[in-house]
Amino acid sequence: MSARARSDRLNPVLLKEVRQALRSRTFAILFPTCLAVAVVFAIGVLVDRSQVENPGPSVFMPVFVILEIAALGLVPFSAFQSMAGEWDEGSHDLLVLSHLSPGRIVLGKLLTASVEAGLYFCAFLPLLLFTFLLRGVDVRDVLFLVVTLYVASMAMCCVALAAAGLSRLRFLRVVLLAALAGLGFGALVVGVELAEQFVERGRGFGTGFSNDDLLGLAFTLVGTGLVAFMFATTRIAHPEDDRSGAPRVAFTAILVAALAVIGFGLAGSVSQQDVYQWAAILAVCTSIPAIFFATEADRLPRRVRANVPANTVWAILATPFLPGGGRGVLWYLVQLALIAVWAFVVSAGLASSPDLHMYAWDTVGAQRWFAFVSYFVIYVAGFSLLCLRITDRPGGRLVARLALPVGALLTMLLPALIGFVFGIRGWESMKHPFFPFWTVFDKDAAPVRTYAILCGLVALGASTPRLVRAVSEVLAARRVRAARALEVATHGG
Amino acid sequence: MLALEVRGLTKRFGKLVAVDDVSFGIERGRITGFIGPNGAGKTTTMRIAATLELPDEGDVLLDGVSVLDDPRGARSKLGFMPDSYGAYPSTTLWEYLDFFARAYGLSGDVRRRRVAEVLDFTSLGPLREKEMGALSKGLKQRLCLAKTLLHDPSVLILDEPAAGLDPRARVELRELVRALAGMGKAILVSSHILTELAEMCDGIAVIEAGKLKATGSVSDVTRGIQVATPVFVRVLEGPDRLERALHELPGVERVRREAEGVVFEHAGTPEALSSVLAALVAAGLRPVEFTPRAMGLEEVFLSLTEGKMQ
Repeated sequence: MSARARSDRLNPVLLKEVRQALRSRTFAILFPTCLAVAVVFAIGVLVDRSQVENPGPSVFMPVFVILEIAALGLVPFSAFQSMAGEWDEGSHDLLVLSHLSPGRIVLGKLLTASVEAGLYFCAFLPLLLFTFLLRGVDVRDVLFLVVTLYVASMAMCCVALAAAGLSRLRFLRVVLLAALAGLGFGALVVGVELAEQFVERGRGFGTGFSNDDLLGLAFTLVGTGLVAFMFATTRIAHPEDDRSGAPRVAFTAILVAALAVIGFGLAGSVSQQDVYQWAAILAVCTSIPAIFFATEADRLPRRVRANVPANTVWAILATPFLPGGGRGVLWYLVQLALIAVWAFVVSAGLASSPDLHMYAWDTVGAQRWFAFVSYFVIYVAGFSLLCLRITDRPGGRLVARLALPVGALLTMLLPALIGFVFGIRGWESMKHPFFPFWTVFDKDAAPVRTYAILCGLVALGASTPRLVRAVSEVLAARRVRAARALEVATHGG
Repeated sequence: MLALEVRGLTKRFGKLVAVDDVSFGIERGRITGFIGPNGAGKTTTMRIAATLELPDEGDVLLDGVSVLDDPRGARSKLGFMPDSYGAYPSTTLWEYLDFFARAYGLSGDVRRRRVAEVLDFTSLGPLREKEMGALSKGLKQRLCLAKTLLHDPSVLILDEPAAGLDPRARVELRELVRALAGMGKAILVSSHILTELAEMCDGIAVIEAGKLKATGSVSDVTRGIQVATPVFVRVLEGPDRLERALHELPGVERVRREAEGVVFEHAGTPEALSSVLAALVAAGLRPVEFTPRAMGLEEVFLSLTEGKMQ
């Protein structure tokens, strides 16, 4: 295949962005500067530590930190600017009108970032590998750190692309860029710590870093990147297109993978407490995207209506994954149900072991978990019900998305303040029925758990009309689609 | 079948009705000027037709394809040139067009040929290696038009294409648009420069405060609103005698002096107007000019609209 024919298969956005980048002054200045600084540092450290027996780690660290700055700072910043530029230059509409899907546009931007990062890594890798010759650094550790950093860089780029798509207002984007810089700095600090553990403290791959740690790290980076990618894709899609279906499916897939991995890890556990603690952690994690889904406008977008499955069963199964606030609550309940089933199955597995039956997910364990989850049902389903009137407008949705977590925090913190002012015993130290962690973990809170579950059920009951509407809207769209298909079949369109 | 058909389009932004039950159509090879004051609903209507916005009611059909039911299908029929064209400053003209050609799914020799064709059509061929950042506004507009034509759409929607252009660039753009209509494309073009539209368009659609005030060919719309024809007369005997004579004739109204002649308005048939001329000659006046004036697009626009803002 000729080079021309091969170029036809490339993502057009990648091609365009690489062409632009080759002419951009930013890359032309920053790339050689980073490399020059790294070389100067390496030589400086080498000269300074020439008498040290194994100078490898001392040379490795500054070079790696500069590569980190490029990979976690410069490359994501470039991705952010590239996406933000589409709004600023007014080219976003033109891209949307072309045959490029939102997914291909974001993928093109991500591939461009991967090429840019690749150039930095190609330039820095010989320097990093050179430290092996200086002794004190294992080649496997170097390769592991480099690969991890590359994956982290791509995850950061996905987050940057998602952040750039969050707002078309320049002021808000400056705020988002500042937040991204903070995140990049945090990632850089974690990366430095990890690199120090590997090359300076000798707790390298296979010694101090277990397979579980590796799995956790990979899961965090890939999961974050995947979710951010989905989010970025939905942000550039038309408001009447399906903007939350893909993230809903992605989050569910991540949850199922997490449940499988944790279940596998718990197979050797001796405590059923681990099961419901993990179940509680996952319920809290799931409530974060649920806040976004539950505060979407309730109605089914027009362009989604046309694509509702024509089969009734499929339509019902797809309902939690279709856009709309009510369906967002439904999605959350499905995730909680998945977690509950997982906890039950894993506990049953633990209980089947003759030595472990006493640790099964018993009634108390189940009651604790359901009580804990009830709080989050109230926060997500109950509070979003109160915001229903404002979620039709973009500004209203933003308010609702802030109000839900702030409202949840206030229900936890205000009683503590009231306890402090009025001298209610225990309340000032968060031992009150509005604090889910006290309700679950304190042995004195057993009666409160029943009330918490009842309140959760009340919130669910109040949400029932909304949930019914969410399902019936999908079924109505299915009927329209089926009728239209029949009409086309009968009259040939 | 109409190439562009707007059917009962309504779009609300909260309480504001930006577009209120607007309907009109354009046939192939016709250019329709979309006229209205700022905030009248022109851009909203155009963005709905371009699948970028959704109406609350109504639909737009592009070559029979609904923008609501099949936005992707509709986009392949449509070339949309927004008022703010997207530019990538450090990209050359050829790279810009090559990128969008790829984005429209053109590949291989077809893509290269098509890019060369649109560059040739817009006379931008000699500038193909020039960076977009260095282009004048007129050239950027031409480039944006070239991009709009890459996938050979049958319907073109041009939002204020002549805004900010110098007279030469406007004339060039007008010629390009006419040439496109000659190729059988249906064109909807909005502009504030009404003289420009008058020379370019076969028809007009006048919108104000979201409501369509008139639609049809320029002459049809003019006839529809014109109650009296202004007529300019000049006679050798001077304007004083002429003015006195005109005041005595039936069907003559609003007589006023203008330059060396007199303008009067006449609401009757052409035969009645002819009898006015005969009466002037019979009164001993020797006419050297007797010119009924057609209403310009600006007069039509001013007659139809009230300057309402929303």
